Amino acid sequence: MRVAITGLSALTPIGHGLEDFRAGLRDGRDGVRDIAGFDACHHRVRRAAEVDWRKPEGSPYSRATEMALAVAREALRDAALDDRERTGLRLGIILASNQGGMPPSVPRYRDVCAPYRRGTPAAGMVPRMLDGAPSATADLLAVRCGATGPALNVSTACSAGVHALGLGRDALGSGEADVMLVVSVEVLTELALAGFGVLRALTEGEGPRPFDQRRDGTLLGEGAAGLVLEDAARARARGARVWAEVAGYGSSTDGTHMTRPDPDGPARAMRQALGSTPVEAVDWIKAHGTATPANDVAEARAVRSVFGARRVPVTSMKAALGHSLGASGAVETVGTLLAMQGGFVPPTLRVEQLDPECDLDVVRGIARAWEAETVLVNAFGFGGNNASVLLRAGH
Amino acid sequence: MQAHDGGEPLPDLARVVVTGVGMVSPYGAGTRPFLEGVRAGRPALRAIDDFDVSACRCTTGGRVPRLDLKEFDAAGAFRRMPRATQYAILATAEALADAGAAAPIWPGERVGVFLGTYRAMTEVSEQIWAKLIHGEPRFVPALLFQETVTNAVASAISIRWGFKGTNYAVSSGNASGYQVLQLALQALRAGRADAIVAGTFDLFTEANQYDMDDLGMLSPSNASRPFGARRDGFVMGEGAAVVVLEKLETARARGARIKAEIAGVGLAHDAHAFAGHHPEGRGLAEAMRRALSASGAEPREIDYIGAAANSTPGLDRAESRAIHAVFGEAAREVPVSSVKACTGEAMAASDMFNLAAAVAAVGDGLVPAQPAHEADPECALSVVGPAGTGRPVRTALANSYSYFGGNAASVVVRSCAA
Repeated sequence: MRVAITGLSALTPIGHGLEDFRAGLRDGRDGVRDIAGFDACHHRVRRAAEVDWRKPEGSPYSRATEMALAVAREALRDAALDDRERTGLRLGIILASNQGGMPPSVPRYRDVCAPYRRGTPAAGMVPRMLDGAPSATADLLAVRCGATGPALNVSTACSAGVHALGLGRDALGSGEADVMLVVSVEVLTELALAGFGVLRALTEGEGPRPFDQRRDGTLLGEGAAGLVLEDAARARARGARVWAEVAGYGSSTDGTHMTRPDPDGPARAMRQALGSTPVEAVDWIKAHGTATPANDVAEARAVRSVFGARRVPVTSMKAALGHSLGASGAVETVGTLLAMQGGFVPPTLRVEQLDPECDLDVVRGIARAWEAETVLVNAFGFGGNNASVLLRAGH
Repeated sequence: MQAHDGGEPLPDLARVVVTGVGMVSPYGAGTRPFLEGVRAGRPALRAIDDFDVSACRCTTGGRVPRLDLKEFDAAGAFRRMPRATQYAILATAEALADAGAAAPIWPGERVGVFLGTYRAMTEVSEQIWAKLIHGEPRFVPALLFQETVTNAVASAISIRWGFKGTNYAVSSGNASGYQVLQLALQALRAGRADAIVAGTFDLFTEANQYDMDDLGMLSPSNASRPFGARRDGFVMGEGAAVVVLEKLETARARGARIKAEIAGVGLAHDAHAFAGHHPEGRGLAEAMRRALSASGAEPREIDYIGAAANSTPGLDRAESRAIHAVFGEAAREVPVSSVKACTGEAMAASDMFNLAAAVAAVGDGLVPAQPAHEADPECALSVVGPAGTGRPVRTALANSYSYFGGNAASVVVRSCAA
């Protein structure tokens, strides 16, 4: 079965909604700022790429879950699958998130979680308590969207957003659902800020510099995205606009170390995603590109081992968007599709002196006018989890 | 890959079988003590004594007893791992040995590790939040943070055995286990792996116990009585369990001992209400229908149902209604039991406990029993008591149902004996 992407949505640090996000990518907007969502004064690093978005007044759910609901609604609308059009359709949900509706800060955690909260929780607190479970956001998405197919959260660290696309494709292929809604969300939490801080994985400069000689770490970001997947034949039959087809998918595990990347694993994921597509056909690589010293050199080696002498434009969006962990793969896939349709390749911000160890055609400075038809998207994560997806323009 | 519409037997190429089972449960490490316990209807529920439960109404739990880990692996790195990772590794070691694969028999790239969980690594996250609340961010131990990601357990298994195929870590609430089976069926049928280590883990902490007690979910009488007239809430359980899955064809070719076939999985969501399930068990009924259809089995062929019932008034009633909706008159006859009578509600881990019992049942005909208790006439099921059933079991159905989310799953397990 050929799988088409027929609906998109995004909430990102550089743009809310598709047009704004696309303009942000094209103009090289930078989403990195001082942290505003909570008091970060005790943290080593006090900058991040937050999304300027508040949850609706009176919501009993977490901000992450509300962001997920918002992008889900928008993606279904973009796919022209509003409530009425979904009657009789079996819809399934794949959520990509590491932290889901976990309370983001110490004060919020103390409000909600035992043993810190005071007294017996009031009825209004119950949804917020249960929203902290990894599957809760996916459950609420199923309820709100009337999705009676499979509903799951995939939580494979920073590769989750691309794994979600593969899982969505498989659910369509096995006939479990007519349409799969992939939603990703990650908000900034003190848990991640402290954790990446003690791992010395965060930049202490103004922002991350993927593939640059002076790169000294990544930077956390927030984001949410929605993608609607369906059988390409079905999409054509109902006259849906097709953003792209999922032309290939690969996933692998390093099986060597929890946090030290091994180029062999990512290379296997990329080769699987390419399948029989020759490397000559690939027009652009949306890199994982976290800007940690270890990731970028491992990714560059993996790309060179797969692509050989062929030089392909490469972008890391994390310089602008920060690293939204479980959401990043899906958010950056949406960014990739917007750029493909807009006829440009967005720049990697803050690259001044390319690291000779990362000898790739890194697009930097300003966006490059480029009609990319076939694009490889990478997402790699903690635990040596790797995922790649090959996108082919829909027209 | 084509959808299987039911009715026709699957070609051997598409059939997936269980060749190994392993677990750590409230009975301790190993599948045998678990099977002996649940088949005798002898609960592994005890007074919780490793944290202070004095402010809870329910003070009983199915905790995993302290294990002699040194005997299994004396390395400090293993003994410092989170409990979830240790239990999943112990379960995987048992399942691989059971499958005759203790020594590597597949290329590492061809083995996937797919794990499901409800609570994920909360036991670790709670420790980090405690450091942030009582101390400062810089006091968070660096090696602890990397264990907070849900896929840390699958990664540890990958690294230990050199399994370099796909790792998935997923959560569909309580139904995570059978969700994982479905992903494994897809990967094996598509030829993307030679074997999948598929499993679940879920633990409970002091905070989880207080959360559930505060929400009024736990049994104030400290008893687990699925489908019982006097059921009044569940008792917490925990553990990890793993099955090794292969295609029938390749398992036969290597001369593996085949324990059972995973004939079909059905997944469905109530899409009814947040933090609750459908009162009539709508999603679970649909999941059972899909599992039966995917396996080409008729309801009358089912010899045993491993229930998801956890001793809460609502969930057990909903499951009973769903079974009646799918099985009609036969619902009163088919033997039913829930291993949660003995292990407590171990969330996603219960899925695999239930599956392991069903796999063993189609092997030797013995099914889990429940301690004798007053039956609820509203449930009108044939609940297996300590005397057993005395009927052969060729095909079993195992259920899973999320009481907080409405995610439902069902799996048909079939004997492979000729």
